Amino acid sequence: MTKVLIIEDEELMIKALEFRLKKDGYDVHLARDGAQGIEKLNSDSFDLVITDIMMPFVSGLEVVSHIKSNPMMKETPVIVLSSIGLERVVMEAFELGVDDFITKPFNLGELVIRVKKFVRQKDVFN
Amino acid sequence: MGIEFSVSNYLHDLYISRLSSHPLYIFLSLFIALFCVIGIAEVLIYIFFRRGKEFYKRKRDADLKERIITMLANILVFNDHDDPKVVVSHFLPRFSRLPLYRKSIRKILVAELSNNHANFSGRSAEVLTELYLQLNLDKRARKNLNSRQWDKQIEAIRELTEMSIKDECDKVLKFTDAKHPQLRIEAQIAFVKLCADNPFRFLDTVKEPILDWHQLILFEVITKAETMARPRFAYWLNSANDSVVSFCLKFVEYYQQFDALPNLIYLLNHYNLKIRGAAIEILGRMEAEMAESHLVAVYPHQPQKIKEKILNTLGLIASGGCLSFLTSQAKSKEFPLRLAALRAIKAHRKDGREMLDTLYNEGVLQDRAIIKHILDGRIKA
Amino acid sequence: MWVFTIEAIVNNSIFFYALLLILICLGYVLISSIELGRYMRRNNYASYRELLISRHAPCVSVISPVANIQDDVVDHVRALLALQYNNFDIIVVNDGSTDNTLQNLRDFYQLEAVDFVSYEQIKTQPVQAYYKSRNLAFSKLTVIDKARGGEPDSLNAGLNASQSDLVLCIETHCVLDKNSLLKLVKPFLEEKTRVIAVGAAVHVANSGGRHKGHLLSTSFPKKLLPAFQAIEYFKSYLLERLTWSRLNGIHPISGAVGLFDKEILTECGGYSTKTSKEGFELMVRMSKYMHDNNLKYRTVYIPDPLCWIQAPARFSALSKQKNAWARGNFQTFWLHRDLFFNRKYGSLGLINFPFLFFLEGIIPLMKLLGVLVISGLVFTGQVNREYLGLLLAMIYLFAVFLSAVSVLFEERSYRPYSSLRDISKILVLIFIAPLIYHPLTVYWKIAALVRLRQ
Repeated sequence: MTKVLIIEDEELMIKALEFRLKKDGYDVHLARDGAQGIEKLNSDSFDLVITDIMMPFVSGLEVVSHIKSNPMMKETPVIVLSSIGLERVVMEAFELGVDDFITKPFNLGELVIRVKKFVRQKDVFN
Repeated sequence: MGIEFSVSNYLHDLYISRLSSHPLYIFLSLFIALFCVIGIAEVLIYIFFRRGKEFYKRKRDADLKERIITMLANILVFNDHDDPKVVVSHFLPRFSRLPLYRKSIRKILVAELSNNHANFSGRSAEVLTELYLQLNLDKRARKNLNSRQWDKQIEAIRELTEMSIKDECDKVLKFTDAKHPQLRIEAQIAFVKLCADNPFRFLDTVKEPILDWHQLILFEVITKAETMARPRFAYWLNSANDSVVSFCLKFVEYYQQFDALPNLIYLLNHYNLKIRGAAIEILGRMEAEMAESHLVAVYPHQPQKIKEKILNTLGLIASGGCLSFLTSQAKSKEFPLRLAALRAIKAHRKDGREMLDTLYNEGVLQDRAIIKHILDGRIKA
Repeated sequence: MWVFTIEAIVNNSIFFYALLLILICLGYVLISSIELGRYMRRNNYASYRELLISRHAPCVSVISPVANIQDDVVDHVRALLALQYNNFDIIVVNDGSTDNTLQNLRDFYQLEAVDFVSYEQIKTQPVQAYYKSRNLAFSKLTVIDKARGGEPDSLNAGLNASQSDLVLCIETHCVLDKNSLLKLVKPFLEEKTRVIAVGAAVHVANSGGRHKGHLLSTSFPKKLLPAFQAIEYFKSYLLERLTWSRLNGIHPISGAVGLFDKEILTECGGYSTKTSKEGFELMVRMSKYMHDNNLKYRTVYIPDPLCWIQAPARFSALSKQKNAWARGNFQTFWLHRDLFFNRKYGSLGLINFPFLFFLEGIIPLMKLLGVLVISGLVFTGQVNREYLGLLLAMIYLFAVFLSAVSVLFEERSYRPYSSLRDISKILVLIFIAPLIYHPLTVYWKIAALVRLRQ
């Protein structure tokens, strides 16, 4: 089963994503802030990571750089989910190696399709 | 027992029997002391009473909130293909079972609904609005629109706007002219959000300055709205209300309305430095080559802050036509101007790079340091 | 007859002096309650989401001096990086640390020395190097390594390097609320006149759970001295600051956190390295500068608890701090003595400044004098003990009442310490504080005054 890690501090958002992705048959893991996210990433391996940027303790950008600078998980696709859609922020994220950037408010269905796309790509790759 | 007795006895003696025989200052002190004791007692009682009430309420509401969040998350899962009405009617019985007659529960539900509404777009948002209407949660808000208290009115306007209930649009328009600034801005926001066909009507009449804070909020609201009519903002650039001018400048830039360029150049002589500065910056971000000669022409008479902005703008335009002007400014006595000029030269890509190399070779120590500074990719500022 | 007259004069003067203080305090209560009510009502409806996502959010530099905090420095900076705002950079100034502070920063944030040129508008101790990270995730961060020069000197070095219009200056041991920038920036955008400084409430967090530079929970200090200080902060932040903010004046001590208009701050010379408490002096200098240049301005204080500090728990450390603050205040009064009753400076010179001098400088002396006279009278037996006791009881009750009101304000607004146990503790302590802590504060002020003369 595809393992997805969601790092997000908003309770509502995390629940909605969890339910939705579980319904589509993903194995969903949750982290409520950046520090927890990094802990989980270090102890387990995931097929996809969805993360917010502004979170307590450790910012999402640091999480992304943690993933992308680690040879073990460099290939893991990362989708950023942010309420700030400014070009400056988006560019910064992509420069760090983020694979997709979604601005809130967003369409849940669209997110699911994007997730599917990355998972398919990964399957083909393997 | 004996002590208690004597204390109350003493107080009785002090405050009643001997009251008339005290000197004035003791008389007054006694009253101040009494006032303080009553005040302290009231504070203590108030705090503990309030805490007790809240504790009881929180305990009652905590699991209900958890339940509401879970229910909402569940309803959002079904959204892509189904009709919102069908989805909602499927879930409605469960929501109706909530004790909605209680104010606190209604509040939690409405807060969660509107919060979710802000985070999701498309079908999920429609489902939430549908649920809001079917649970009759809108009744209260509609009633509060006519309240006399501005905070209630604001709450109502907000709630209706957040759930995108569009049929109260006219009532909201009335409030965009309200005396109360808070109510006015809330109404302006709501109007712009709800009335997508002509949201800028209020700009023609607004007399009070639109504060920077309000401009910022309105800007976000307007640019986030999906189906918004976009007027020619140049139309308002000669408004007598300076805040309307700077507000519209933001849109000229955002929508890249090139027909406003002549107006922008005209604004280079605006008496208000803030507007002049903003016009210069926007000319840069719109890469208006036609403005270059005007910018160079007005440059000598400007205060330093504006000079810096002109140099930055010339860097953004980077047509190559102003390289010699920039080079002359790179030798300015003022550090910020030198820095800005060198940055602008750098923005000219290959030509700029060559120019920087020449300047580096003939420059003195500090110029070299500045050039190194601006060429370092790690330093963004 | 003679004896009676002395006693009557003394008692009367004590009473009317107390009455004056009581009226001043009631004035504080009245004005601050109006201002608090207005602020709470207005900000009930404020949404910070638009500012958070706005492209027009003004750029802010957060300047944080650090010195010899090798164990905490990485988390401290990390917490700053996680602030909620979209347009800010962080300038950490290493003030000649002798431990591994700089090395730890360099290792964790992958820093490299860069050829940074800063516009040295304010003279500081020599800067040894500027560092930036090669990791893009930390591109907001600039680290300045400079020779030791104290906190104000480091803040000035940060000011020189900053490219933003607004700067947030924080003390090293201060933990910021994650929404601090949003809340502090708002007043700059919201006033019709130019805002030159915004301050926020500071609270004591000695016993809260900390994790990676963040505060997890805030609980009331367990030890007595920090607890007294926490209560004192209630009063000084909610009553006094709010009142002066309402009256558009300056306030006695400026907090560990302040957001400034950088242009004005650098124009008037930055932080002063001459006085021992730089915040108050700076506010006075900035206000003076604005008056001198005929510019309209406002200084705003917001009652949101944005900054949490570690209060000194040992008596000696606290004495030292209080001494330094009081000394700084007196130095400021002396340095800017031309303000006193100077009509050029309007209400600042005519009322605000002399009034603060009266509160900070004269009153402790009067209190001392009162204690000496009373003990003299008691010693020689020339006193009606009952009346004296009643006067003292009245003063004590008013002090308790005032603390109770400030607690009530906190209760109605932000509740920095929210558990029932904490509030009970606070309510017990306000009865003890006037007996133990208040005399100490008077003592510190007088000690500072005496030291100043030497």
